[in-house]
Amino acid sequence: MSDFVLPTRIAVHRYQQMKVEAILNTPYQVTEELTPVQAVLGGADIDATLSALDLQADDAEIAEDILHDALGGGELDEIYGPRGGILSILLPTAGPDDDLIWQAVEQKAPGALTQNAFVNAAHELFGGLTPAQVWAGAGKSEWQLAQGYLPTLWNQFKDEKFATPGAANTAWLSKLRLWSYNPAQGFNGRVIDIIRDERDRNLKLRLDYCTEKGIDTPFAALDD
Amino acid sequence: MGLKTKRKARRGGGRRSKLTGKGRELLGRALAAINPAPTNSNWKALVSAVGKDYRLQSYTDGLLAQNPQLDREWAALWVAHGASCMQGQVEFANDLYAILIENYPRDYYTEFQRGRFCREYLAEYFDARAHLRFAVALYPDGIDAYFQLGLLYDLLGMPEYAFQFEEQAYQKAKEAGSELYKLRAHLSFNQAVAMWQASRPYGDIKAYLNRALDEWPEYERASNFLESLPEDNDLDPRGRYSMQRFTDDVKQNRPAFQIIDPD
Repeated sequence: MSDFVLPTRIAVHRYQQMKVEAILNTPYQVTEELTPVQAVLGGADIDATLSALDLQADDAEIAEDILHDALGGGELDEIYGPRGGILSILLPTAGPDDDLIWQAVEQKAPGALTQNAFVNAAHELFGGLTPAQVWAGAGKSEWQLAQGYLPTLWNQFKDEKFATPGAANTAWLSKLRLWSYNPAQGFNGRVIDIIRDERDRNLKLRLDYCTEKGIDTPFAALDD
Repeated sequence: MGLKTKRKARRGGGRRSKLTGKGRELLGRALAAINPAPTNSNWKALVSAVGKDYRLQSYTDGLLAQNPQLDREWAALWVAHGASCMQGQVEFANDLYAILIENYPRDYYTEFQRGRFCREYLAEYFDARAHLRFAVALYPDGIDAYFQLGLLYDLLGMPEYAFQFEEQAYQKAKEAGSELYKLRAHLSFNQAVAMWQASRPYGDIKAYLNRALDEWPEYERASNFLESLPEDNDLDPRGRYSMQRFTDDVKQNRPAFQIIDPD
């Protein structure tokens, strides 16, 4: 990240997480034209896969967690923390305690979603992604879009003076949202739709694996 | 004037202050920051004036009537807190909020200002959500908290929710009388933007832009946005038509919009 700066430390952390997710959801020659997630779900050894990817130590650590989680069918807690890619990059971190919708689900409050509906509904803590899309992770297109846009955003704001660091973050976020609803340069469609569709494809791959292996996952597709 | 009367006058009232230590120091700063400074004779009028600015006069009148413990000191902290939130004075606003909620009943105006401040200056969007929702619970007729919730949910990437909060603000602004036409136009414009973000048909987006222009015919942003939209009303920003949109909505479990039929 040499040619731009992000406004907060958590944004940097989220950026790194997004990068690793995108690596794991991109096909490589060393993983036989499969994505590392696909390769591992297809039976490849996690350590061997990580070693083939030649990641830096801290990236490898994040990648290992993600791959183990995918193999096990995932856990709801995994969606909190620095997940959610570019659409969540400027949001504060949130845990289950901040998640009012999840609390209503857990307490079976009147009118609350079922767990299955919850994981498949756009969520306020994740920039409008569903928890299942957060679990599936960013892909190559999202990473490319982020790489293309974040330096532009930095150039736009780097000389501006803000009353507080929070005001800077809010100005960045406002621009990022506007960008996300507009057509993506070099792609066909709006940024937000490209990101969601790609995450849906990543999700389907994981869910197909769970179905095939008979693994229970909290991120199952919406019931009919 | 006797010694006792003089001391009483210096304190600004007959009651002993409940504030000590940092509270007293903050009170001094708050009193210095407000012009005219609240006195025993004008503090209620000052609160009322703030209430009037925010279309909250009946709420603030009720707040004072129901809470006889509120006094000149509270008024100073309350007014200074609102002002410091608007000016982005982080430390002062945080300290004033802490003192207010520790010593006095929580109120709509303080919570909605705090919510706006958390969004605008602290980037603590989930705290902002909590304060604004609390404000709405304290006074469901307040327009500003709904307006702020609309802005917040737009930032959170939830245009469907932003739209609903903006509609609540719009309806309340409608009840409040004709002088709020610019606010209603602004809200309708924001709703059109929310619909565009959520990829609803251009016909629905246009309905809200037309509503904005009905409220305020000279609203340039609304007319520019309206002119930029394609003619086909069933098409949406994703290039879909109604059947595809319906299938996607069901598949994605997305919340429904309340579509208006403009007058």
